[in-house]
Amino acid sequence: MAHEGEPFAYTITHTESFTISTRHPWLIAGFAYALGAVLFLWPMPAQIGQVIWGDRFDAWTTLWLIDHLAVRIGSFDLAPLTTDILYPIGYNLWSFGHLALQAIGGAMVVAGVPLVVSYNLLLLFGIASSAMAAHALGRELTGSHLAGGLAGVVFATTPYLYAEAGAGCIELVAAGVLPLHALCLVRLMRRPSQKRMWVATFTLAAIGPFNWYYTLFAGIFAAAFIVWQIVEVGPTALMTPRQATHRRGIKLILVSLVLAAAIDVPLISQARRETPTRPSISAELFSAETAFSEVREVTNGSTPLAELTQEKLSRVDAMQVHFNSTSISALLKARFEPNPLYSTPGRFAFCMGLFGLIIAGRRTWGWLAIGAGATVLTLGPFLNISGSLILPSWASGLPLPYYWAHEYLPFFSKAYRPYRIGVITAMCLSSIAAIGAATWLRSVRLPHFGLPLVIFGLIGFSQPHWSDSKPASRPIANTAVDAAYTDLAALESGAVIELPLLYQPVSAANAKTQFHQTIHRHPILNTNQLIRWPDLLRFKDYISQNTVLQAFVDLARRPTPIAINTADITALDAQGFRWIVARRQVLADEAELSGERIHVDLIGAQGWRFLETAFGEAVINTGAVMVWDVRNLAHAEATIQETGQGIMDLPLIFDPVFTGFPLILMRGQATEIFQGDASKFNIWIRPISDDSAISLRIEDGGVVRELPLKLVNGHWQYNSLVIGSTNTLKLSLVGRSEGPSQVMVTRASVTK
Amino acid sequence: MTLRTRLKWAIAAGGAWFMGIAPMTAEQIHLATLEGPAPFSVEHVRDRLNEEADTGHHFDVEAVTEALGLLSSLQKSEAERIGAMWAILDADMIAEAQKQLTTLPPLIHAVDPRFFEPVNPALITRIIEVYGFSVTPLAEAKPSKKRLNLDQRDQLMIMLSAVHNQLITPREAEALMQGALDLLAFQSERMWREKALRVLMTQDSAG
Repeated sequence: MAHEGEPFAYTITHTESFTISTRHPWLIAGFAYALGAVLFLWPMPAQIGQVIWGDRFDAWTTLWLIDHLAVRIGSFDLAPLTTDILYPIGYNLWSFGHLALQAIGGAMVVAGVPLVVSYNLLLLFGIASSAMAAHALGRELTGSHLAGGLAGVVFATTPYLYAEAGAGCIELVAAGVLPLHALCLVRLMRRPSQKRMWVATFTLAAIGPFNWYYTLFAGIFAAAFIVWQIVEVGPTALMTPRQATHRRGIKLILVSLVLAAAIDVPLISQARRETPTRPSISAELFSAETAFSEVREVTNGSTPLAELTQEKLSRVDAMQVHFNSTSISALLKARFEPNPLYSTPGRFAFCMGLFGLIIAGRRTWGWLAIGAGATVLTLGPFLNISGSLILPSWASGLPLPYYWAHEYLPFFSKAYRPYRIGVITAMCLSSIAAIGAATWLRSVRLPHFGLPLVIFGLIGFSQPHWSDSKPASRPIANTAVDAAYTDLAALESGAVIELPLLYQPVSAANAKTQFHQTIHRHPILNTNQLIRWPDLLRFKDYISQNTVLQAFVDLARRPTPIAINTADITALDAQGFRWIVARRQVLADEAELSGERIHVDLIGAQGWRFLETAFGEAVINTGAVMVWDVRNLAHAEATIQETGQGIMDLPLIFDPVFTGFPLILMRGQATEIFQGDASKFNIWIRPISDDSAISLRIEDGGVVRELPLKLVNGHWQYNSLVIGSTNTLKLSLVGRSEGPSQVMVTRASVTK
Repeated sequence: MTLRTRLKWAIAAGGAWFMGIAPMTAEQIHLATLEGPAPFSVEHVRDRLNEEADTGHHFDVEAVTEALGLLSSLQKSEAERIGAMWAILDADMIAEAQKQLTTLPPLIHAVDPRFFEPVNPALITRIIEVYGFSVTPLAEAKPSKKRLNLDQRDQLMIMLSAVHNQLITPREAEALMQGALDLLAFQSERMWREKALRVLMTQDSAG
C-alpha cells in the first residue's frame, strides 16, 4: 500500500495483477535465489566439500584466512599479528581489509562445518543474499515482489559477481550490502524518521568490516542519491514549506553518512593497511612501454628481489589503476567473462536496464543517471577504447572523472580497481528493470509477468553454462593435497619454506602454498600477501640477510651458479625454520600459458641437484612432494655452489616456453631429442590428452630400450630417469597410447 | 505511446544494440588494434643507403650493408625451403588443396610476436595435430614448374590446406614438417636480424 505523502515519481502502486498469492513471498524468493545460486555456481555445489572455483590466488588465501580465524576464534586469540604466514616477519590480519565475512566462515568451521564447505557456502550465500537484497530494493521501489524478483535476478547474475566468485573474493560476492544500504536511503527519503536514519547509519557502518570497497561505493551512491533528490525537486523549490519532508529526508541521509563515518573512524587506520598510500597516476606512465614491462616483470615475480624499490613498487601500484579499468570495447561486448578484470554488468543486465528504461520512461532517469555516472567511473582515469594494456598516447589528453576523483577526493583512491565500481551500475540497472517490470504489471493488456520472470530467472542464473566462453565449463580447483603435507604435520615443530619461494602469487600451484599451511599447521615463510609494497619491502630486507633464502627465491627460474654459505643453513635453523618443501608434481595452471611463467614452479635439474647437495636425503618423498630437514647435514665446507656443470639443457622446438607448438605423438611414433653422452635424462611433462602415454627410447649401441615417463593428468610431473650407460646414445620420445598422445614438455636436460 | 508499443520499441532497440551496433563497433575497435606499426622495409634501408651516399650516412654503412647481405641470403634460403616443401605436393593435390582453402580455420598465430608470419607456425601446428610430431630429411629444392604464379604465402596456405584435409601421406608430412621447421629457423633468424638492423638504424639516426 502506498504510504502517506509519497514524494517520488518512481513509487509505483501495488498491482492487482500480482496473482501469485502467498503468505510467504520472502520465503519463496529466498528459496528461489538459493536454487538460482546453486545453478549459477554449478558444478561447484555438486562437489561442495572437495573443490573450489580457484581462478586466482585469492581463493587459496581466503581459505587460509577462514581457517586461521577459526583457530583464533577457538582459542579466543584476537591479536592482529600472525606469524603463521610470513614467518618470522609476521603479518597484520587487518591488512586483509575484510575480515567479517571470513570470520563468519571461521565460526562455521568452529561449529564443525568443513573448511572447504564453509567457503563454498559463503559463496552461495553471497549470490543468494545479493539477489535478496536487490529484490528488497526492487520491492521497496515498486511495491511488487515480482518486480523485486527481476531486480534480484539482474543484480545477482552479473558477470561481475560470477568473476569475483571465481577469483575467490567472497567479500565482493556478498554485494547485497549495496542494495541494502540503497534500500535504507530510499525508505529514509520516503518517510524520514530518526529510526530509519539510525538503520541507514548502522547499515553503512557495518559494511566497513565486511568490505571497505563497498563502504566507499555505498558512500558514492549516497552522494549521488542526494544530488538526484535535490535536482529532481530543484534547489529553489526544495526550500519551500511544501518540500519540508523532502528536505528532512536529505538532511537525515547526510547525518547518517556523517554518523557512519564517525563510527568507522577507529577502523580507518586499519583499513588503510590494505591499501597503503596510493601513488599519483599519470597518462605518461600508462602509455610507457618501459613502465608496462617493468610492471609485468614485477607481477611475474621475475624482477630480482634485490632490485625492488619503493619507487618501482609505487609505479606497479599506479599501473594497477589502468589495468583494472574497463574499456569501451569491453562495455560494448559486455561479455560474460570469468576474468574479473574484463567484467561489466553484462549483456543481460544491460538488456533488462534498457527494457526498464523504455517501458517506464522518466521514472527510471534518476537511477539511469547514477548508473551512467558509475559506468564512466569504471572506465578509469583515461579513456581506453580498445582495452589495450598500453594506453594510446592520444588518450592522455582525455582525463576522465575518475582521474580527478583519484587525485583529489579523500579516500577515493581506495577504489583503485575502477571496474569494481560497475557493481553500482548493476544495482541501478536492476532497479530500472524492477521499475520497468512494475509498469508491465500495471498493464491489463500485457500478459502476466510471472512467466517472463521465471524465464528471465532461468536465463540469468544459467548464463555461465551457455553465454560466451561458457565459464562454468572451465576446470574447478581440487582442494585435495598430497599426502606429504599430512606427513609433514606429524613431524616436529619448525617453520616451513616451500620452494620456489616467490614474492608474488604468480601461479595457482604457488598460491596453494598458503592453503597447505591449514593441513601441516607449521608456520610458513611463503605468503600470497606480498602484493602490498610495505610487506614486500620487509620481506626483501629479511631475505637479503641469508644466502640460502636468496637462493630459494625464484629457484626454478634462477640461472646458475647458485651459491650459499653453509652457515646460513644453521642460521635458518636458529630462526626456527626446520622443513624445506619442493614439488616434483605441480598443478597445471592456465595462467602459465604465457611462456615466461611456465618455469616459475618447475625446478630444473640444476635446482634439484643443489637441494640434494645442501640438504641430503629427503625425510619425506612421495614422488610428488619432497621434504628436507635443515638439520640433515653437517656441512664441513663453508660454501655450496651449483654451477650447472655436466647438465646440458635441450632446447626442444615443441617447448611451450619458446614456440607454443604442441607435441603430439601417434602410437609408435618417435621424435629424436638428443644424441651424445648422458647418464640421466630430466624433463617436466604435462599431458594434454587424458590417455597420453610417452616413453623415452634409448638407443644404446645396438640395444634399444624404453623407459615410460610418469604422466599425471592436470599436472606437470618431473621425470628424472637414470640411463646407466657410458656409450653414445640416441634419445627419442615415443608415443605409447592407443590414440595420439598430446603432451607439453619443458626444461628437458641430460646429465652427463 | 501504449505500453505494448513501448515493449516493442524495447525489443527492437535491444535487438539493434546487442545484435548489431554493439558487436559491429566492438569488432571495428578490435580490427583497429590489430594495425601494428608500419612494417620494417629492407627496401627503405637500401633507399636510405643510396640517398645518403652523397650527403654522408647517419649510420654504420659497413654494418648495415653486411646485415642486408645476410638478410638477402636468409630470404634465399627461405625461398629454397618453400620450394622444397612445395615439391612434395603433386598437381592434383595442389588443385584439391586450393579448392578446400575455405575449410581452413583462422590462423591462430596471426598476432603472435614470436613469429615472423602466421602461416608457417600454423602449418607446423597442424602437421603435429594431424600427423604427430615426426620429421624426415627434406632434400634441396629442384626448379619446379608447379608454382602457378603463386606467392610464398599462397603456397604455404595451400600446403596448410593439404595437411588440414589430410591430402598427404604420413611420410610426406614428416618431410613437410622438416621443411617447415627449417623455414621457421630461417624466419626466426631473419626476424632477429631485422630487429637488430632496425635498432642499428634508429640508434645511429638518433645519434
